[in-house]
Amino acid sequence: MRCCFQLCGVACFFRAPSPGKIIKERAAPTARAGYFAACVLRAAAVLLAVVPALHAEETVPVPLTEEAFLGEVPVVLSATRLSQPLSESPASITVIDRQMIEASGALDLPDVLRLVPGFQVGHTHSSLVAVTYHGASDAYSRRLQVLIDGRSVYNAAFGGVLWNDLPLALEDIERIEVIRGPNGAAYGANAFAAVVSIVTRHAADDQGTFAKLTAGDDRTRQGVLRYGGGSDDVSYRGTLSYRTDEGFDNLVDEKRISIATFRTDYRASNRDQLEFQLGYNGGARGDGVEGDLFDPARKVQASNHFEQIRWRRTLTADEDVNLQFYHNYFRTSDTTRIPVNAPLVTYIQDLLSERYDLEFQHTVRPRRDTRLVWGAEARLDRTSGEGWFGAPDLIDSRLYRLFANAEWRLAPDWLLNAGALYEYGDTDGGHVSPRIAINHHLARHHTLRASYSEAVRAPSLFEHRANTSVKLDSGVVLDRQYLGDTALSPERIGSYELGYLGEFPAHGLALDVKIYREEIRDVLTAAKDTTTVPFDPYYVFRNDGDTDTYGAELQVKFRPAPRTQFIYADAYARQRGRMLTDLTPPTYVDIAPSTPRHTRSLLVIHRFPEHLEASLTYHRIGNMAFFSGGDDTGVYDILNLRLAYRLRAGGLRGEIALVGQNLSGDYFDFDNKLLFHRRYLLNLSAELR
Amino acid sequence: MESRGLRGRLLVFLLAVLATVAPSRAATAAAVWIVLSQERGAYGEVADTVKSALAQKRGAPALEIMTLAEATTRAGEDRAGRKPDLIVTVGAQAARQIATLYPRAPLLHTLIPRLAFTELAHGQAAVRHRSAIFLDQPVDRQLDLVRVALPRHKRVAVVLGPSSRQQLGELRAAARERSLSLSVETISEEGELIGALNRLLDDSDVLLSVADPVVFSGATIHHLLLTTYRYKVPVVGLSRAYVEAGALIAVYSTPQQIGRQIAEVLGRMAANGWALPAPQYPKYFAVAVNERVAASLGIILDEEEAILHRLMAVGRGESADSL
Repeated sequence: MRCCFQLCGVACFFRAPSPGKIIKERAAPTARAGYFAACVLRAAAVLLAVVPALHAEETVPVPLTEEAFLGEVPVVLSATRLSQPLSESPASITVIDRQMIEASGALDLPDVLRLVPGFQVGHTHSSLVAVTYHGASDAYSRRLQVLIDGRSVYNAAFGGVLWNDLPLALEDIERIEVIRGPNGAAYGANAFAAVVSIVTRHAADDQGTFAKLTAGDDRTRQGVLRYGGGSDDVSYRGTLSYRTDEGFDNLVDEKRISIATFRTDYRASNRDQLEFQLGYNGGARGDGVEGDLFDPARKVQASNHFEQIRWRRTLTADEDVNLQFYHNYFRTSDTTRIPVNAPLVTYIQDLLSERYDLEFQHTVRPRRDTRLVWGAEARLDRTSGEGWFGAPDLIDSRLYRLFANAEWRLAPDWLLNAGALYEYGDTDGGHVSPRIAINHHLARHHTLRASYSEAVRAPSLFEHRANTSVKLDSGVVLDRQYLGDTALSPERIGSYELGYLGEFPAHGLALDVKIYREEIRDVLTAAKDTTTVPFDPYYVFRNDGDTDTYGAELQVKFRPAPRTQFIYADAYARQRGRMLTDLTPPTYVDIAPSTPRHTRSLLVIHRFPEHLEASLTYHRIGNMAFFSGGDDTGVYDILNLRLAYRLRAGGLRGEIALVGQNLSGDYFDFDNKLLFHRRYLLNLSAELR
Repeated sequence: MESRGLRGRLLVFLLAVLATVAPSRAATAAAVWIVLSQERGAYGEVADTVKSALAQKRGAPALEIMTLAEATTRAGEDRAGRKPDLIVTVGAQAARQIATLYPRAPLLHTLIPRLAFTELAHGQAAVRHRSAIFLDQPVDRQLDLVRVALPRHKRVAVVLGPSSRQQLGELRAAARERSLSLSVETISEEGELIGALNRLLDDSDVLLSVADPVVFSGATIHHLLLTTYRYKVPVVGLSRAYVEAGALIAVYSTPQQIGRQIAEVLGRMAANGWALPAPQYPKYFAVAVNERVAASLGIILDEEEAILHRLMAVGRGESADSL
């Protein structure tokens, strides 16, 4: 159900002042680092002055009365707050919680997603990471919807998600819920192959001061500082994070990522919750090739932010109303003059992409055996990029959605889920995405599920409107690269699934198995047009291709003892299909090699008595090759180890952790020149509550 | 004519004498006041239940139900007047004020948390004249509930505040008796609650609520339930309202159940020459379960009735493990 994934763990929203000082980028890295350190120190000094004051006063005990037993208590865990039990959900879901994120030792979100059955990751650049479900992707994974607290960060200009550009600190994440399979009925276009729903922590959960420093190979340096405070009704949290690394050995892709996020949760009354969030991600990211005339080594400047406000009114335990508004702003500055001193060509790759989105949602239980979530959404995407679209104009596209998902308990052991979403976009027209699922509890702890779900992937603005060329400043077009097509229609997916969920509480074991068949039609593809005299061949976009995938996935959580956990994922997939790559004569590429037959991962966490925690992450990915330049990866393994020593003294918690990554040897996941080597990171963190 | 008139007048006089004497004789046998902290709500329900339970009983005491305000006025007007044989206070406010107004009257405090009663008894010399029917459930019963309803949840977490910290020893003993492990954090103000929960919940299976205004109040319940939910740790609440708000389960007593127990106590006291019984916990109780929370946490619970019956069986001394 939509409610369960979009809104569960977290509350709410309030307009608050801007997040203090945002770290400004400067040209010299050392100067920037110094500035950052100064900011951190200043902030720390302020915090140290504030923290003791908050704990200073002692209060007189309030007398205990019968009110404790007889008084009214506002409904806190209302229907939308409660996540649906996995055994009642209409789709297969993988939940990655905070403990798993920490234990993985990952610095980047995509590495965490390798733990999801059937997920693959490919790096074409340290700042461009593709995350895909069931392979079949190029460097931009356009078939994955990504939501952060219900806010879509799917990029309207190119499709996909720029993971390094998200205004999100890994430390703020409470958990990640991955809905494996199309989910257009709940989230609309682009919830195509899967949905990654990231839930950040409630501000009240991060009270006190937290600081973390990381240093390691590849000149990786990271500092995170967080402070949370508040009173009974208002809590807030601010997080600053700064990160630098060198990227790959033989690529200009060093990066600096500055992140600032702020969240406040306000309980306006027993029934009303407000949540306000804002965040920033900026910094210089290396790009280009040393010595290349048209793609010189340079720094691309990113500057992204968002604002989000959400209001929730709880009417009864089974009914509430949500209203959400957000604004995403992504901007990349990348203008190159060639040659530098007397430019003949100005290569403008600047891009601005903004999204305004308003959503209303109502959850209700009209009858004892029926739950219903319905709502509406309106969105405006505004994009401009002269170098990409041929003109400096702002391009607006509007989208409207209406959705309803219902759940009927036909009998105590039979649950029927049905839903649909209708959306109308001014570029793509109207589409309906339906879903139906039935869950049957065979016995206590044993559930079977059958479902059918459809979704569409809307053509990105680039696919619709691309017009990229190398132009002399005089206006003469030398070379054209991509030409969009406004007549494109969305690609479509239909997915049939059979699932089994079993729990064996006596053995601490939980199993999730699914077999599936996915059919993708009208595949959107970039095909080379060789009839483009006087220009060199360039790419145009077509709906031409189809793929059928079938496979099986297994997810195991095994907790033989309270201190030991095994989380295992295994995916098997067979894909058949083709898509157009050349117009004349029509030439197709076989899709099969783009999907690995096997993808496996294992996370083991063991907490020793007292202070020590050890964790191991292991991935084994079968042969695959990403589209558009991906090399055959062969079968490769990734082995990471983490050893953490924890200390606690009163309200102070400290941790020292050593992380070893890629310990099983070098590998590449996209391009055989971009190798990951063994590397070590040291983490120091302290938390004062 | 005259003698007839005289006889008639005599009859009227005798009747009049009887009319005044008869009720006062009954009152001499037993006059019980029920003083309510407030007229309506749970207080009124308690009084109504006592009244209707005793209405059919022979030899029942004469009940006079009044609000605290009425009792206060009466104490001011009639200090030398006739005192009731017993005052039943309903609610902590009535308990406190009546204890001050009628320092020597035998008092039965009801609808009062045990801690509030102990505080009150400590402040008063004439403890012998005071007894109570508590509103809260004994720790044993709450831990039995955990054992009966959540047999796999062995690690119990408790947050205590300034009022409730004295219950620590009792909690430890009760947990030990049931082979449950107990983790406790003690806080002195609301602001420390979330930190305490964060320290506790990583290694706990269930959070047991112990009444304390610093820990459980309208202001804290929101964060408390959200935090425990994030840790996927179920809460054993204090009342049905807590269960509706998001606690998993609670054992509690309704005003009617307390009223029923008061009526029984009054019946026994009437037969025993109005000797006060020892302070006691609720005899009758109910169980409430939040099915939605259970489903969301992946916990399978029996029906409320089934849990209640097993809990009552354990209370009667039958082993929880044999059920």
